[in-house]
Amino acid sequence: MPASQTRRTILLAALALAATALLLAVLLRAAPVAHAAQSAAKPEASASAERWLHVAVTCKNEEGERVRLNIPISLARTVLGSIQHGKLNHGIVHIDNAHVDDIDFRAILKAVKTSQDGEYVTVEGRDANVQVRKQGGMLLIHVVDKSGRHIHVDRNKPAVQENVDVKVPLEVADALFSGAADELNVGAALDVLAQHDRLELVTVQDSENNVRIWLDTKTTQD
Amino acid sequence: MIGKILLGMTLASVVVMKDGIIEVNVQEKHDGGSHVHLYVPATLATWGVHMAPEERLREHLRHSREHLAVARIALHELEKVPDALLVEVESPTEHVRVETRHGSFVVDVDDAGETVHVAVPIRAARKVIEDLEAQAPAS
Repeated sequence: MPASQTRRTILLAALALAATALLLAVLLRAAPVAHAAQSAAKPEASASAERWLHVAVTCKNEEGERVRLNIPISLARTVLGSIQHGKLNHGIVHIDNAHVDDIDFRAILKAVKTSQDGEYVTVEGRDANVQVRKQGGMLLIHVVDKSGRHIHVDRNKPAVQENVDVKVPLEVADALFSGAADELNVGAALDVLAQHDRLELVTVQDSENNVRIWLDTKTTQD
Repeated sequence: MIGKILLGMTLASVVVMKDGIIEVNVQEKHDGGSHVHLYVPATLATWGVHMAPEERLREHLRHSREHLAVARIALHELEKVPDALLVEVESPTEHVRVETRHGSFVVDVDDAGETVHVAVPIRAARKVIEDLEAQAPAS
């Protein structure tokens, strides 16, 4: 083999080796780096565009178990819209007529929407207190369960109560009941919910657990 | 000649690595426990769908089409999501994390018996689901 051809072969081999190393490096690194760069470059845009539904459950027992869920609303909305199974049909839940025949939720909602802010329902019972009020376009429901039936209490201790607070924007409730009488349009409700930047939706506090469900633009919990 | 071989290896690497890497790491904690750590090109998973016996695959997928569609849509949405912790369960004996990280769907489990780490490129997983969906007979 002539010397020039040998040199050419060695040069080609070196070039190919360098190309291999370069491509492997690019392949192994490029995707994460590109993804990280994309994430880093547009924190504001993604934060402002996406709403996240957060669920936090903290057990108060000795183990102190914690469960955290962070779900992008768009993911929930799209997946919900794609499911057609049983009573769930593309974001619409069919409910049993028997349970709603006697109550016209739409009429109640319409009446509440057109009314002034104030406390609409107050029930004070031996086992539970319930308050429903409208404030600033929100429907606020506060329940104090004093029965203690949901938990195992020490007989020597006073009954433990459970506090439940639910905050629902009226337009979300409106969207929820925007379908037929026997339907709940969960998809539409999520769409409207996603227009809010930050919203405390549900808190439940009892002797065993704290549950909090809220919406904001952060990918993580506080 | 060497150059051609290396060029061929380069192209093969490009084809094999283009969908990313599936990582599986299982470490048993007891004495003498096994440790399995695998890096598998995700492309092999997509090839696997095409290499599986068609009739048997169709039989297995007969009632899965709608579930595959939901999985495909979910993965497509996950591709758009920035890196985030989706699920975390913590207790004194167990720690589970499900997150998206650098375009992969990552599951970490750390309990008394073992630690498990699985990372699957979301895009590759979606491609596998799409291929399976294409093979699934309409129900």
